[in-house]
Amino acid sequence: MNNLQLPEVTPSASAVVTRPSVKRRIDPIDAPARPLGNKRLALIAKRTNAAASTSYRNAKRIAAGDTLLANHDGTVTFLLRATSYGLLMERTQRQASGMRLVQTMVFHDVKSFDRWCAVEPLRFDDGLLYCKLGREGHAAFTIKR
Amino acid sequence: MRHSPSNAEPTGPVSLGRAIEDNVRVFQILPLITDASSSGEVISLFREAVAGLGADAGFFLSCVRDDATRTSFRSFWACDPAWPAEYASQRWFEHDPWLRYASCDAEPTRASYLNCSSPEENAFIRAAAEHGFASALIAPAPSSVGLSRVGVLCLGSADPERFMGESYPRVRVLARALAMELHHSIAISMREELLRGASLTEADLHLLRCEAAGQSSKVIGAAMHLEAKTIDSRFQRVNAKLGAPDRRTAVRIARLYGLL
Repeated sequence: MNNLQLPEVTPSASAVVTRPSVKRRIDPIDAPARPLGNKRLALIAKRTNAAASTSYRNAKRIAAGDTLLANHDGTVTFLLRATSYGLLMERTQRQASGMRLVQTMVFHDVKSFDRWCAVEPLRFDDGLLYCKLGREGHAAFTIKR
Repeated sequence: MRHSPSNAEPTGPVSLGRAIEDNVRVFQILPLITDASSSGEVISLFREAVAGLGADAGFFLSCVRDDATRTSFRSFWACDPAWPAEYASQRWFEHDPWLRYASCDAEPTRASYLNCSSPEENAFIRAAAEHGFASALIAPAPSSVGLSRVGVLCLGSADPERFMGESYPRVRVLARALAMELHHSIAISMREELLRGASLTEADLHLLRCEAAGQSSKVIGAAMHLEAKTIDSRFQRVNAKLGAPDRRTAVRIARLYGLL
């Protein structure tokens, strides 16, 4: 009689691992974002431009007492709010490439606001909006909070 | 705060005592930043902290790389109002050596110790010097998501020797803490803004959590007694709300902004 025991067959490591196709892949959060194809990039740019052009719609969402101003194509917006700390201004600049720069600052007096107005790049690009910005800013300083 | 922009590094027991008093005030300000109810209050506290640290000017910049096509910069400014205007018009964020430093190092340092890698960066340094950053202390604010979200606090002075004195080790520690508090404050406001703007529901967040767990539409649908196609179309709506090209990016954005 043969007492030789057959070796116990255990599945190899690769056989027990769940198939990759079963579990969806997740982008690593701490690495650069996954690059997109040309077609998808074009689609995203189109959607971004469409969203920017309807930025006036966002005016409905702002709080009472706030003033939202936007240039003709919605790439630059200004949110003005009179606070007890001074005039709060949030300047948002969007670009088709997907960059968005939000600058938040507080002007304690009309002088500092005027100094900022004197160098604001919009003064050459959209004169009407620039005038309105100055008027709204000065008006906000007269509001007591 | 009793700091005067034209003052040099405080010397003598009286000046040193005042400087320490100002630093204590900064220490008291730090927890108030997180509790602040509005960005106006945060900037007001930030301005006070800048003066308390012996600086004439300061700004904090947070950079979030949402996806392959979108990068968001949010910033607080407590300085000459001409500097943020020039920063935006000249697109300095593309050539900001201080932001670049914060992307690869977490240790606060003097700006004079950094090497500029391009003519644009040298131009940035010259422009910053004209707006109250002749000398600067750079305090990076790293995050748990690595390069995807980085913050940098820049404290500046018209005095080229401002951050060279004996108080530097103390200021460095407080600047690091201030940078982290401001970064946290911005992260909270960005999260709230996204939640408000995207109008995400609890069901949307549940879908994103399932996706983050690696579940396919079939698996999610089976658990919810729905067809996989229904789950797909729900994901399309979530993607549209977040401005994401696909659901993997939607999960990335949700995680970056602390929604999951």
